[in-house]
Amino acid sequence: MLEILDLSKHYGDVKAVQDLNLTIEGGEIFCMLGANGAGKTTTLMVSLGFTEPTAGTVKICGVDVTRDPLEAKKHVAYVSENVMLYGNFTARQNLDFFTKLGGRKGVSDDEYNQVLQRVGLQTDAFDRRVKGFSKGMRQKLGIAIAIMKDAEVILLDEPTSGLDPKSAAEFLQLLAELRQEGKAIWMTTHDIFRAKAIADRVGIMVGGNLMRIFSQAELEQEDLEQIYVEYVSRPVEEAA
Amino acid sequence: MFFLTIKKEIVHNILSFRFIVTYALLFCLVLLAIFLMTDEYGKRLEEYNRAVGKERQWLEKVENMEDPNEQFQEVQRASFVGSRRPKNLSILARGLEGNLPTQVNAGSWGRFIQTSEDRLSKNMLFDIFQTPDFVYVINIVMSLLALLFVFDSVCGEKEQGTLKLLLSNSVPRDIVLIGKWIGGYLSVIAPFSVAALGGFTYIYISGNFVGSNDGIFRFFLIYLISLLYISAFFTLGLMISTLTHRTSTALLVALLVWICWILVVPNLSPVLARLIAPVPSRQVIDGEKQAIDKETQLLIEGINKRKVYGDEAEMERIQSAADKRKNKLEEFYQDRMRSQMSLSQNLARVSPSASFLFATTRLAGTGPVLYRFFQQAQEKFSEAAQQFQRSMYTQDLVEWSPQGPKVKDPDWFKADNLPHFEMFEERIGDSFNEALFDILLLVIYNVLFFMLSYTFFLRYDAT
Repeated sequence: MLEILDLSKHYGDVKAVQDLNLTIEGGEIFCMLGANGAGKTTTLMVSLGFTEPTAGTVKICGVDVTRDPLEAKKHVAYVSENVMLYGNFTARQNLDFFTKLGGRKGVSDDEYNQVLQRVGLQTDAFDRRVKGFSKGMRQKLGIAIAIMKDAEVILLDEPTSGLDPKSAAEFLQLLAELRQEGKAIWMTTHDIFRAKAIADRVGIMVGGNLMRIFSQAELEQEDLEQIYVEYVSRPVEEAA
Repeated sequence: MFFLTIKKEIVHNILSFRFIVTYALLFCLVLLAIFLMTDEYGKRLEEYNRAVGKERQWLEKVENMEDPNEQFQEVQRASFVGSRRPKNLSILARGLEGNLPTQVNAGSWGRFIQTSEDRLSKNMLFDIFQTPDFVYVINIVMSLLALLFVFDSVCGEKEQGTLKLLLSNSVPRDIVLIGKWIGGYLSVIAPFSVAALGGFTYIYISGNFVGSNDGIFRFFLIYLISLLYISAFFTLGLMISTLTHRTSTALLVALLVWICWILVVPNLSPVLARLIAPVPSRQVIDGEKQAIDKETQLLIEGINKRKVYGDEAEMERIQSAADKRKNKLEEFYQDRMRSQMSLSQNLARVSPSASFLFATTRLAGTGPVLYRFFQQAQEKFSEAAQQFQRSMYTQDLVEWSPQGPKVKDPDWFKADNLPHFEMFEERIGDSFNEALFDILLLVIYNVLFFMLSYTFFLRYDAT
């Protein structure tokens, strides 16, 4: 579903992403670990068609993001680290707008209510203006928008950072449910423990290079934390 | 998707605090400007009607005199006063209305004096703090509000983080931009249109458009030009928003451009024109004319002293040559003045504000054209007064005796023969044609800003 082939992105002399190859299938959660500036978000931005790659391609459901970004975006939903929505709109209005923008029509109020309940938003917040929402509430609304889009691929950029443990746990539970529905989920994070808990595979990215990918079995056997710390502690050239 | 983005922009704007502030501010300012200017126009009209009434009374008095000799003496003593009727659309665009004399006085034998209302008898502070008119509110307030409404339309969404979410959907950027433009623009012009409609209703009810559709059409055209002008500033704001990545930077740039275009360019252009195309002062020209007169007088005095046959023809030739030189000098002055004015007008057109003012005052009939028509009317009035006075002293009409003048024809006096001060009224089609250049400039500004916004937004880094 998400296919990254020989992807490189350079900003002048800075190699933000270097020869990245990765495939994420439907019904899989892939977590990408990496320090700040490792190239995780850049890869996401290229996958969303916001930035053009220096080399390589990203395909979403077989559609090349660079060649046909509008078609590719039909198959992808995005949740950022800090979901920001239209503050003057209520949760329902925001959800309605982005659902329609995603191409879905004729969605009933009941359906909106169901999805808002599913992501764990309190009922009294449905018709409240979003500008008074906490970060956790906004993240929940962000995932509700992604659910309503019903895209095959979901890209999440550090979605649990800054969330309290309860909200983070609820959030991960939702991701697990989406995996059950066959979605391909890419999540970037700093949180090794949550990555280990939810992911089917975990990758470590250092200095724009994907250093290693851990399978479920490897995650159970090896000390991910120690390996991660070793990778990020080494100088970039050595790590590569 | 297109209508969805428009709807989102409109709802988003309507729910914002600035929309309420804009609505209230515009409604108050536009209506207040129209109320005050209607009142001011009413006073001018009253003054005009009083002057015309006074003239009519005098005419009736003269017409009712039974003795033609007494009638003759009364007319002889009179100085002809012409009154300028104020323009009803000065309610919308004052232009030069307050600066030109409301009355002209043709004194005896072609001596010509311009009089104006007695300015000393009124509060001079009114001249310092002039009542803002409808066009002023649009030119200054509305342009600023349009900019403030849209300066963060794109960069604000980027800063807030919603642009990334918006563009992560399968929505073309041009649809987003056009949606933003239409939605935002409708949000700006809605309160303005409501206020303008309120103002129009008030002017209509107060009877200032009675008997003429011309005034209504002109109002409508001024309203349409205002929409075009607001759109130019709105599109400029959108362009600034697609050029910048922070709202603070966008606000600063927007304010800077606004100050340059509203305050600096139009005020600086006459100064620049004066430097590029200098015109000698009126005093210099008058001094030159006086020198010619002096020279002519000396020559004529010299000829008078020698008393030779044919001197009269020589004196006439000298006088006529002097008159020609003076006329040439006057023409030179007027030509240079016209060039300077035209240059300053063209320089000012670098700002849409100047184009807007030129177009609206042309349609209101209160722009530079009012001065030209006034001058023409003044000249005609002066000529007619001189001609009438000359005709009074022909031997066919009057015989002079030690007891005074004796009029030969008892029915000599006809009110229609008296000089009338009449200003040319430009037809609406002609006014529109004359304003067309400035209207086209506003269209060009709109297209240019939108094309630039479009180009910048296609490359805009949403991350």
